[in-house]
Amino acid sequence: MFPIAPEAHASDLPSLLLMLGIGMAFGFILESAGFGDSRKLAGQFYFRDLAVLRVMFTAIVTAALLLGLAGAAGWLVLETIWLPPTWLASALIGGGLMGVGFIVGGFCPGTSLVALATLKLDGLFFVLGALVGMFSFGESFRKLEALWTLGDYGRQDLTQLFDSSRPVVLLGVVFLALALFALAAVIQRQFHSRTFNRASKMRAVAHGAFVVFALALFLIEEPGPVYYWRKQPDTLHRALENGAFAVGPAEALRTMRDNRMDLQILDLRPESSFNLFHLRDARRMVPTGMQAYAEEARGQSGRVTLLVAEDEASARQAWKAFHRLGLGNLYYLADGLQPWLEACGGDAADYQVLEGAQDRADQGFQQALGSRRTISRPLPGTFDRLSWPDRIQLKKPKVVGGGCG
Amino acid sequence: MKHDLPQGGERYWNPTVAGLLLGLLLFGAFILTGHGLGASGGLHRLILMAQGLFQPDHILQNPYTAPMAASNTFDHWLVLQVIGVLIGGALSGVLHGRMRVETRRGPLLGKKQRWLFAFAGGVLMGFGARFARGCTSGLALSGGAMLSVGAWIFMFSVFIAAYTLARPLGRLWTQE
Repeated sequence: MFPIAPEAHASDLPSLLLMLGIGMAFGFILESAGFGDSRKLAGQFYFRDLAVLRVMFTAIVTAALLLGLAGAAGWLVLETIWLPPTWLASALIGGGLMGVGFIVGGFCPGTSLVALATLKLDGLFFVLGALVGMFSFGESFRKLEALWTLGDYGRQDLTQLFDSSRPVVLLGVVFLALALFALAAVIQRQFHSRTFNRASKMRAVAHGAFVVFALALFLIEEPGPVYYWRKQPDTLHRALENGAFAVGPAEALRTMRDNRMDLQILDLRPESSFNLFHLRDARRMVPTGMQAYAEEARGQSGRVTLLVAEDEASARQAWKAFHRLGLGNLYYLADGLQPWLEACGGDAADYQVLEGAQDRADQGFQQALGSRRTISRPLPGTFDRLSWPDRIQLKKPKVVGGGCG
Repeated sequence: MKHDLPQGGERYWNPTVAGLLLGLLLFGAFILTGHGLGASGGLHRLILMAQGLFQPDHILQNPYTAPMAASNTFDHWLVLQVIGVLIGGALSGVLHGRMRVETRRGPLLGKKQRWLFAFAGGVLMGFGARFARGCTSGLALSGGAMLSVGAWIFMFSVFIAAYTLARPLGRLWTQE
């Protein structure tokens, strides 16, 4: 259902307004919270003012709990949402530099924009400095690249790190936030009792609600792929069963030779089968790699993904899994490799259809030549005798991608 | 002089209320667009647009900047969001009567000194944000809410560095 994920296009009025609107609300909240004032922001680090900590962690906890609910309720497949990948050197060194920049300059990039917008000159100079800093990073990129790419852990979240369920981690995050608030408040009371505010009723209610919310998430079981598929509309169920995404050999071959389409063939068969034979430029895909592929392929215009599996049933299974991960332009080779090999079996010197090997088409191969065979991508027209309706219709990708990249 | 107070009598929103609203906005951004909030990437695209006027080939040869420069600057959500932040910030400033030319600074710092430090801090922050692959908005807030490991490491890295330096650089923000 979600995300709606419109393409940000300045010429498309609704998405333009949405992106501008989100930014405006962001700016309005930051300014109203006092984040256009560098003294207030810096006050965090002298224990005079805890607004930075409170606003930031309250926002993170609120959004994290709501995302957890949306995922558990099946409104949203969390795997399709942008999750900043983990780069260790980036996080440590970049974060360290920004901490220094915060004390020296008194802002972070977002808050400096708000300061600039309200005509604060320190904000203006900070923004100019930030532009220079970004410019110099771009210019010195080649020298920094080795360090910058150190410690690449990919898409990694706290549930994976601690090997626990989302509600457990969320409850931990809530308690961590509350503990940090309490600790900071104790220190503030010690050194700056004059600026110390007793907890507002609002704060007490909010903090209590966080704990209750996190506990309530334990009651909802996080829905898996089966649940997802059940929730899909009947039309999609029928389309898949009627073979609307099953591509025949002739169309597959034509697409392989079509430069207007960015075709990626994913081979889901076991490694031994893949080594014996696979289609030209096919990539072997294991279940654990699906998430990473979906992330890479989502939003790439012209990308068509063709799944090659042992048989129709496992192809459909993989198709459903990829659909859940938000991948569009998704098809599978009808009936696995059987029709393909049968149609051009005679062209391959070492291929013969063995008796009793009907279930595993590749068992006819004598040598593990992979795709170094002509029949991995035969000449155009090879499959013209086979009649399959054309299936591939290129659709524009939905998601643009994410992050600060 | 009781200059220790951070707010010069300004009345700002209760941090809890601001945090709740920001969390709702962040969640809304996620379910509407599939990604969270961001700022630094938008700023970088703006400076690249300016640089592109003088050295179009140069940015396209750089493997880091080329993907950002390849598409129309204003087609990217981060750029639109940065413009939105400026408008929204100004709107709040007008409504709350905070729209005036001034320089917010520590009690011991002159105006020009503050500008210099703001600029220097901005350079560090801009460079650091690109090195970190995101800033407080895009990485800490958005990644933190999605429970990204990298985002949480980043967050603590920022806070630890800032707290460590706060005392030695106390002259910038306090009376000591």
